[in-house]
Amino acid sequence: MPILRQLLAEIESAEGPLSFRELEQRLTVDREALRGMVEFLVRKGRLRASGPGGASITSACYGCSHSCGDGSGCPFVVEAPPTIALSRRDDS
Amino acid sequence: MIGSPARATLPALRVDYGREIERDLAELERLVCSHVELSKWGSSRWLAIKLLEGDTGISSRVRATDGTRAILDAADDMGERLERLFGDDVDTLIADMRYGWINGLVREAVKRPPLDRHTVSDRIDSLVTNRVLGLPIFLVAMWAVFKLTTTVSEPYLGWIEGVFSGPLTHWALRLVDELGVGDTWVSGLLIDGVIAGVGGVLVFVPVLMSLYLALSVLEDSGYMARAAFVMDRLMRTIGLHGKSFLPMLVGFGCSVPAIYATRTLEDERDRVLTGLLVPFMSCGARLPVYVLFAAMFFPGNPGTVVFGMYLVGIAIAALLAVLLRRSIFSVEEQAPFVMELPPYRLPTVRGIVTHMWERTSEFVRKAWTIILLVSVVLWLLMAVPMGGGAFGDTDVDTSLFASVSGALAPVFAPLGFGSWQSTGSLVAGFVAKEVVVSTLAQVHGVGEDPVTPQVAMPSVLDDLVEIFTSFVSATIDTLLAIPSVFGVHLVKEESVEPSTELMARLRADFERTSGGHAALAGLSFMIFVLLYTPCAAAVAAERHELGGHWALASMIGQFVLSWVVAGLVFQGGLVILGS
Repeated sequence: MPILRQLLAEIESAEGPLSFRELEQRLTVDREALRGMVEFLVRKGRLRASGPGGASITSACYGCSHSCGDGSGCPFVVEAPPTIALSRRDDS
Repeated sequence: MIGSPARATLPALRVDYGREIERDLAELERLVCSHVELSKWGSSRWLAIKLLEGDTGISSRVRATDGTRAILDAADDMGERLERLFGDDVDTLIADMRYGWINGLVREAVKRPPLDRHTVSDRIDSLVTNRVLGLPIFLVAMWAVFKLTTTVSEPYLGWIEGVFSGPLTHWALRLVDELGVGDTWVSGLLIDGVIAGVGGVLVFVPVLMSLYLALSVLEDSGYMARAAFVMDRLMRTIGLHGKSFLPMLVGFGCSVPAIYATRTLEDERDRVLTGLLVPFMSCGARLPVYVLFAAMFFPGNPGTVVFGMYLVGIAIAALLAVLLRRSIFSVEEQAPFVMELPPYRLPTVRGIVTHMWERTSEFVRKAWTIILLVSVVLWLLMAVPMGGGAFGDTDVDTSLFASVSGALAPVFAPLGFGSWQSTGSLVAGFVAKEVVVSTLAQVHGVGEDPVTPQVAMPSVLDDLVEIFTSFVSATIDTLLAIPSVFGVHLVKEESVEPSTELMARLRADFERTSGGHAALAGLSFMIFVLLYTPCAAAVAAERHELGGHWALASMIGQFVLSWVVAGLVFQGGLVILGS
């Protein structure tokens, strides 16, 4: 099976989240090459990339002295690691 | 042996795109070569590939050149044919072949030593993100955080309490005397309202600092990303979206941003469900209540009890998630995803201290605003006499606050803490959980009459020396206590008796309302605090993010749930104890 389709198939059939390391091992590809493939599929809209980043917080966060804006100013917001997921049909 | 550069010939690097694509590429190359202008652009194969891929930049440049219409039309026709044939975009087909070729080339040409292939991060990850070991490792890490939190902060807790009830109270008394209002209600408001109220909460600043310090270490080291990875599987098992872990984690700091953090979830049902469950994560404001009650009723293992409260909150949220997902929040199977785990880093002192300070200072800021306001309002309510006496000179048991709280107290009698004092603290706690402890301090009259007129007040210098020496003593006690987290006890365990005035009065109150089962009632109280509405701000956030009906449902649901679970703990405990 061509490598990009193999990559999509691995994500689709995964039971739970995969790390880049796991995906690299399953496809026996180099990490940088894998990154390039993922970036290509994100550009093509086959995969959705999110993060890194925390929550989207507004100034409506009552009782807080910080001006949160996009959440980066909130002291309680924890930055989530970036994730790549299969695009849903309604994403495109 | 390598030949001289002049004679060296490199093999042509040519990707084979397969019979069908190669046939079209050959035809496009021929067309490109036959065009006078395009043939001068460089590699005709490269240009043919770009045209077949539909590269917008190249295609528009070609389109701007005279006499290229036939070439572009041919490229379009070929692209459509290939898409029909393979069922995929041409550029994806080409990229697929290219990546396959690159992968094969790297596999053939690059030989990496085994150490390079698996970095230190990879090796740690194979353990901490292991499907079997990952969750137990996460739980052990969180247990260590809470054990460290209570162990490290305990001596400083006593130190701050001493500063508030000693030197600060002395200075406030001097101030009101200087102003000539020493014998008026102003003195009561300052000492019993402001200092006792705010001081009752600020003593827990070391607890929060320790917690945020430990969590910052885990975050900055990169472990929290692994925790999110590990917890994703658990989240899916209980029917939550993997991304729900982030709001849940934020909820351990403060419920309000955690509710706003549910915006990261695309599906509305996921978002509402997570928003309803976030309040069950124990926020930092509940920690002072846990620490006080755990130290008072479970002095042998306060850290484990506090950790247990966090686990109870998680367990109840998980149970509710399963129930709600199978009823009103059913959704399709979630799409799996790939998570990019950052490499492990050695946390910097500056980064950790910044995180710790920002979070703790937010708590302190609240102490000076909401808690101060609530403390003053409470003092005023406690100063209004209902059974005779003058304003500011009435017994707190016969005050307006006691009357109102007393009317509600029977609701909590089956839970083991049906006194007006406990009820009053829970009513105030609806505004903000930070004020539960300060209200308990106020209604139990902690800090009143700290200095009798017969005893001379220490000088300012004596107070300053006392503050310094007790701080040094607390630091030494903390350093000696740290090894006990790992089971090495350098100092003898403290006595199990309540060590503070508030603890002693609370214990007596709980003994009375529970029929001699104060520890059980204390546990029931902690459960109630864990499960009922975190604060008015959280309700406002739920209303803003989830809608008014969900906010109302959440508030009522949390109250009913907290009453039922706390009742089960107390009444069930009585049955088990045979009382």
